[in-house]
Amino acid sequence: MDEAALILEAKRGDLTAFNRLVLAYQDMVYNQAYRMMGELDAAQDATQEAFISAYRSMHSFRGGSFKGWLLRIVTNACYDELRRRKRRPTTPLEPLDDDDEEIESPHWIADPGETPEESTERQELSQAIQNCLEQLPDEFKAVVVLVDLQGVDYTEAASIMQTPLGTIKSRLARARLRLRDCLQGFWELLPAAFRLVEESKS
Amino acid sequence: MTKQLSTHDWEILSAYLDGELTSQEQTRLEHSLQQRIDLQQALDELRRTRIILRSAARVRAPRNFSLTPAMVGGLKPSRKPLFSFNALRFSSALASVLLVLTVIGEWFSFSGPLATQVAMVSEPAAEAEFVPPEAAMLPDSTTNASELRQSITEEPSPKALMAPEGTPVPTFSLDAWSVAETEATVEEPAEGGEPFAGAYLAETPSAEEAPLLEAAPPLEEAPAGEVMNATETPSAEVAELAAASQPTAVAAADTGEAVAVQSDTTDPVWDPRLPWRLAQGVLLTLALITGSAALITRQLQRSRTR
Repeated sequence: MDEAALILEAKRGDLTAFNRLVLAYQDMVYNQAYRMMGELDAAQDATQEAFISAYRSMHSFRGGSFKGWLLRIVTNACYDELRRRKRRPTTPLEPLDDDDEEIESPHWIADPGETPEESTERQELSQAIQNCLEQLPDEFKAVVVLVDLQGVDYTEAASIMQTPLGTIKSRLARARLRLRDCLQGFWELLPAAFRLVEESKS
Repeated sequence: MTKQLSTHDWEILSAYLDGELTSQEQTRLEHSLQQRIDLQQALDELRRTRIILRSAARVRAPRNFSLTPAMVGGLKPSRKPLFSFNALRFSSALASVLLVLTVIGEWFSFSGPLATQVAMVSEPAAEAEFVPPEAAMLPDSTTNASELRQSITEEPSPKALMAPEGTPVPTFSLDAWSVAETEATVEEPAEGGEPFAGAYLAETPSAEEAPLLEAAPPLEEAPAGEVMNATETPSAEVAELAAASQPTAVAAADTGEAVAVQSDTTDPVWDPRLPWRLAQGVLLTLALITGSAALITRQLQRSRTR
């Protein structure tokens, strides 16, 4: 069954059809939540809440990009949680292990195909990116995660953020400028082959 | 060197990396890039930053986020709300506008320039309808009644004087009305124990009662002796005049026996502003209800899409 048919069934209340959509998009939604929130538990909560909200408001989906619609829901859920935390900033930014110690290199982002050295470097870079993202204002963070991590174009980002295209362009440039300063020195951590391929793409 | 670039320059460079510039902007930027090393350096730094960001590991969902019926409370997706936010907002705005219009309309009708014109036109009618204050001020003295009766004969109304003999008088003077009212009050404890035998109340004078007024002889025709005996046996003509002049009460005389009915001057007076006030109340309530409902609807819709 294709996506359009699943959406139609989900709008009629078919939970099974909706759950098939969940399986197709849960990684994307969870990534957005994780990069926005920076925590495993908070990202899981935001993701679950976003899917529940999406199911309950399926009637308001008027077609177009279902992916964009889901990203908007989860981004709004993260905004709400981040605003709430700013009022009561008591939650640690780093995830905790069983002994309530901060985890510097989260194990859940490990790629089983990598060598231990590659895995370490990759985790280090990923954590560095996450740390730099944390320093951005929420609006900048949401745009840069959407465009650079989720691969969304400007028009769709404007639709998801419900913001003018010029604002998206401006926020993205300023976010990249700040991240450039924050991520200086991490370029060498990228594998040489990866760097060459990416530079040739650009 | 790159610190001298403006925010706009960075925006152009950032959009250039994503292919979001127009062909004209792109041509202009590429021309500048060939001439300015600082622009090339800035573009390189942005490109590397972008590559680093895109190299970030894609995090896999740690668990399955499929929904269970318990999670959604066994409910199907919410139906389209009965009242949309826009419809409620429009209703509230419309009710508010109508409320303002009714307030302005009331002001024009009762306080504005229109009100003065209406008041000038309706002034005589108002004088005829309301109970003259002189009637209320007249005491219950029988001597006063007889004196007044005398004053009636001595000072008839101009119309009564002008009318030919035997011609019905459609209007009567204030004094005549006052006498009748006074007599009606004075004669209440009439002897015979049947004071209300022929009396009845009528909210509005019937069509058959109108001729009573026309048949009433001019006041100046009443014999002096009868007038002087008014406190003992009031004339039927005067009683009929009183009945015809008082829309809320009719005093009828039966075989010369004095019958009087105290008119009910405490009836609530119709306030012409009442419909305006009612409309304003309804519109205000409607505006408040729909406005509140619109706010609640918007909050519900927002919470659902979060």
